[in-house]
Amino acid sequence: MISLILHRVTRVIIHILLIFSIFLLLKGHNEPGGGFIAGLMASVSIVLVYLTYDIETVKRFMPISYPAMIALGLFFATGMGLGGVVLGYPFLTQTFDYFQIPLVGEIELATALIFDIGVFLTVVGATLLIISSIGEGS
Amino acid sequence: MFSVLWVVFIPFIFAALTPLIQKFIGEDRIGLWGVIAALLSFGGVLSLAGYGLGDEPLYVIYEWAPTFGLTLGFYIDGLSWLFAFLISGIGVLINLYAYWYLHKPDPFGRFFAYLLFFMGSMLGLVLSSNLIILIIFWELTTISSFLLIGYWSHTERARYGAVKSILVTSVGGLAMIGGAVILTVITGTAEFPELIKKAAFIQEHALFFPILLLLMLGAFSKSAQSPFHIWLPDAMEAPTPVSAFLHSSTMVKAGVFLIARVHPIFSGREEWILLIASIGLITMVLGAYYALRKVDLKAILAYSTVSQLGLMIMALGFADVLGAKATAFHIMNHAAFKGMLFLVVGIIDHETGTRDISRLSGLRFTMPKTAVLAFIGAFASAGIPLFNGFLSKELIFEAAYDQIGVASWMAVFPVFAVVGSILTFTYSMKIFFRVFYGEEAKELPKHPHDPPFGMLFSPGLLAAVTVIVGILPFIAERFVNAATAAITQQPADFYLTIWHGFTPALWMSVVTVAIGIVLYSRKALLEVLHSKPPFGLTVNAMYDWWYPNIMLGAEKLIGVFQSQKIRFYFMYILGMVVVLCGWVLIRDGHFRFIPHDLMHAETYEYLGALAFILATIGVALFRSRLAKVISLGVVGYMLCATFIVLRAPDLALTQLLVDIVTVILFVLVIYFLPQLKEVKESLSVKIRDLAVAGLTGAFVTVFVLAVYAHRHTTSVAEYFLDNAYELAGGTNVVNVILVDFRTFDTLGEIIVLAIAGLGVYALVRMGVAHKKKKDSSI
Repeated sequence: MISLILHRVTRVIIHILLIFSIFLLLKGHNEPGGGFIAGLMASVSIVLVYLTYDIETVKRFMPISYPAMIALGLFFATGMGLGGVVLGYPFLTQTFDYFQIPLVGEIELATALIFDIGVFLTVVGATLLIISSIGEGS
Repeated sequence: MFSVLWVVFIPFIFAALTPLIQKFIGEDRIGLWGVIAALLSFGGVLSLAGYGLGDEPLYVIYEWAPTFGLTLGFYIDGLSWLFAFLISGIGVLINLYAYWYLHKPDPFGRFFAYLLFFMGSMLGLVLSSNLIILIIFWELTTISSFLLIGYWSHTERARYGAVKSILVTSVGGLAMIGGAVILTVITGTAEFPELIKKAAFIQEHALFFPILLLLMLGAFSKSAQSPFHIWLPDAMEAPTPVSAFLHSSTMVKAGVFLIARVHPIFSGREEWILLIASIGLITMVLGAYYALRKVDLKAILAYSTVSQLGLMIMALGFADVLGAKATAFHIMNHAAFKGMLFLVVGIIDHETGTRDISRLSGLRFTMPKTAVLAFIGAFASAGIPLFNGFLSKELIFEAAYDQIGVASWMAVFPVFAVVGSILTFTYSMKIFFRVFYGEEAKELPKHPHDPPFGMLFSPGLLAAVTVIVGILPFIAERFVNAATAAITQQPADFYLTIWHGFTPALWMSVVTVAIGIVLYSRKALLEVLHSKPPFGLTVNAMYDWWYPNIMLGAEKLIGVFQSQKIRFYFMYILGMVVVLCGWVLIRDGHFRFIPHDLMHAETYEYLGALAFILATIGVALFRSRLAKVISLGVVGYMLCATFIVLRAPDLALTQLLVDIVTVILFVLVIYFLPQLKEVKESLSVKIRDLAVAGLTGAFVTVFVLAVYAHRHTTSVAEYFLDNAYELAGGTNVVNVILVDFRTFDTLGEIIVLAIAGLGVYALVRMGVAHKKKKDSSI
């Protein structure tokens, strides 16, 4: 059974949902959100595409291998940790600073964000990998 | 400073890179990679010679996890340097030899990776300054030895030998950990230099003997001392370069090393002499006796190694300077001549196709160069003058003879040292004369001839060392003095010469050779030694009985826990939580319940809680799966609502999303699951389940109330709230905890998540592949 409303709506809101998940990721340090929540949010959005259309559409929409995504996520997380080691700090030391950017104003950049991106990618990769392999396998 | 880490970790790094390098330079040439790694490590050891041979040892400590007081320390004195020198030097020769020895279809890359892995572990073992770190490297050598013995894993004997070696040495290794823990607890340190300073305290301590015994069990099992010697002959299933490297010249000496290392800490009490010298003596005589009875060349060498290790351990057991000196010298000499003999046997095996001494004879015509090497090795092993074995064996005789002055019963040591040496002399002669003299052997599997230069180089170099040290012993003086000083903690200044005058030790050597010649030439006497069965009940028979039974027992025990039924897993986990936590709660009297202190709840909160409870009951009672899933979803959303009421937006968001994902997963799977079946449970099962569930619920309630009653104690939450902005620049404390304060935990969690994801992926794929295979076969 094909639901026309669901099809049309999904086409539009999937972009909003994904942008919102990235918003959650970036805002996480100061407001509700963060890598884990954002990752789940993005996964759920993509699952929506999967439920509305089919696995082929998801693959066309997001031509990424999930295991590679997991690997990339872990690479970000551990890479951030090892970066500190190279500079002579203990593993996983975090730091942050504030920068003035013209027109935008003061923004904060924290190394924790790199780690959070790692968390985000791992969560998305793992969740989608599980859902897609169970969906495909059965 | 750099070079200690260099020495230890170069082999590990090279071993890890082996598969990658193999792709570039090809499997045939991967042996060169091993040679390069060994050479680099050897170079590092040589650069440390100043500390190893000088007066001042090097003691470096690398901070590892300073918060927990964990450090990685290295201690380079005469003893550890001598071992490192032998390990890395012989390592170079073995890698070189193996390059020619291996042939297709054996996987070369794996062999050299294992070999380098072993070399790094062994170097770490001897160079570490800390007993605990030493044990870690010790176990790594056990693992690499296991892998190398089982290298030809397609043969039954190799698998048997590998399992036997790891089991027997692990038993000792476990005992050793116990000893190390007790020692560390009573002294507060595991660093050898510190322990040596506390030697008097340790020797006075009531736990002195248990510690010594436990540590020595480790040393004896590693160095194949009776009754743990049984693993070494079976380890000979490994390729010969491995036998030469691990099971004669380096790894089996780890036990000797440990005894020498703890010598300044423990020696001085009678227990030391009784335990160590006696075990050494028994092993020496038994090993030599077994060696004489064997016909397989490698088995002869294996028992011979057992016997020689016993000799060294006996000399260390004397707890005097002479014994230490004799051992230090014999360690070097034995590594050279026995390593070389193994390589020669490897050549014989490689070129003739057999190691059976009864089939081989007259090889001197066809393999003249090998014959020269075998001659040197056998005569050094027999203890003939002008070969290095003579010098160190005579020192051991001298040390044994001196014991008569200590106590009259100790005359057994020189007497049995001579007995063991007579047997050693006899089998050494057998190795050389039986194989290389007599009629030229016919019907050998291969046509014998001398091997290529590459295979002769390594044993040739060791042979040269054997002869040069034998004739000009002063070359070894600095090595021996430095090691002796390290073992005894006293300055050592000896001269090594061939001629000492007509000392008792010389007469002991004369007697050894004279009786040995008689024994070897009288066939009848040899027959007596060959025919007698050793003992009715052998240690090997005990092992063979014990092994299948222990496996059966383990299987049964695991069967209890790994019941493959999720219901039992839950029961174990919940039961343990309730019992352990509940016990602590009651024992420490932490349970407190202050009713008027509880938070006031609004009506809608009561309603929510009611929905919560009803939905939970629904999960248990509904008959259809879909209804259960929906009910479970309600439980999740109610939890989410609770978080919102308690003003925890992050948790609520997470809970909401997790619930969505869970429900989706259920819906995906549910279609393919079989219908729920009505299972008739007996009343007792129902009561049991109800009890577990009810107790868990009651415990959690009590626990939460107790926690609430204790909320006035300072909690870590305040620290996080106060410092989140200042230290981590974030105002969302939950997120700051996740990505900054507790990053390590989060890293662990995402790794678990990644593994879970990949695990599901692999399982489902395997299932699909399996199904396809099944379908196509029909």
